Amino acid sequence: MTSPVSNEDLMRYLDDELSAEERRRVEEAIQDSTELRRDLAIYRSMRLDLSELPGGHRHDRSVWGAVNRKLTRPVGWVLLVVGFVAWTGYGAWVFATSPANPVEKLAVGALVVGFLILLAATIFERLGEWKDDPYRDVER
Amino acid sequence: MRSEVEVELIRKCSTGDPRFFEPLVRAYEGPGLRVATGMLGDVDEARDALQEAFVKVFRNLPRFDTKRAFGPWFYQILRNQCRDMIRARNSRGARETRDERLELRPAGAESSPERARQLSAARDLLWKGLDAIGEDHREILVLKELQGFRYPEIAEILDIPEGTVASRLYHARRALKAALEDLGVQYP
Repeated sequence: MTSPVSNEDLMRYLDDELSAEERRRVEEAIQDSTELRRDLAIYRSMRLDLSELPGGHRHDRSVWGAVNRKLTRPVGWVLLVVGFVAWTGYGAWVFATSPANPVEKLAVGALVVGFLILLAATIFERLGEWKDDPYRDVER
Repeated sequence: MRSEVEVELIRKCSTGDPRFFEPLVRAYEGPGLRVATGMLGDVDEARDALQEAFVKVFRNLPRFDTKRAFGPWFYQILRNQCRDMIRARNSRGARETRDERLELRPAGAESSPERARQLSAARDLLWKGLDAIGEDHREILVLKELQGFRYPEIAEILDIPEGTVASRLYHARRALKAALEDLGVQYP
């Protein structure tokens, strides 16, 4: 007479997670029980079906390039922005303290500020388009 | 990948140098994509989840305890990323659908068009069954059946006691069987 086999025992047997002694006990119970044999056959059949699912077969294209870009780009952006702010600030201070004619300063200042406004507007516009671009991660 | 090599790579990555991260990404992206695809049912979403998971892994490496195994920790982060994406998808009201592109196979993989059609229909039913059983059941089945993890690894990834893995698997398999029977699949 074999001790009863729980559903969890059957799972461990199916998944090869039992010790040799436990395995023998479950095997004896399976021999004696049509219900256990049927359940085991069903779960084995399901396992076979699931093992044939093709998920992940398209991993020939590595994600490393995209991951690397996400890791390194922020550093580049930070350095670029810090450099830009430092040079702009220094330039503005040199320009403001220079002995040039105030009218000339105003004209040059308007040119620079206008250019910066247009540049910022274009960057924000492109950024907005990029966020909604469904093909941004498509590699050629 | 051998664990000593992994630990050395992790130490070097912890200094913020992503060059040493590449071997880890290449070692784990294949199985990671399989797990993510199984959880999300869409290979392109799975690639996005995988990328985000690797970025999170890299950023958290300085806090990673190298006495732990890297694999289960990585799969934990990937699983959380997949869960976040499923939640975002559900909150957008998008229907969970299996991507038809999952059916793309290399030319000549099936011997005849009829056999290919039968396999495709069978896979379609399986994906529908997996979609129907819910996140908790699906993730444990994916880890066991698609990726072949042992019980201790599953317990660590899902952050559950090892003793409950068999029980969770039993309920997940029962749920899948019921879902497939609802879809007209007959088991012996």
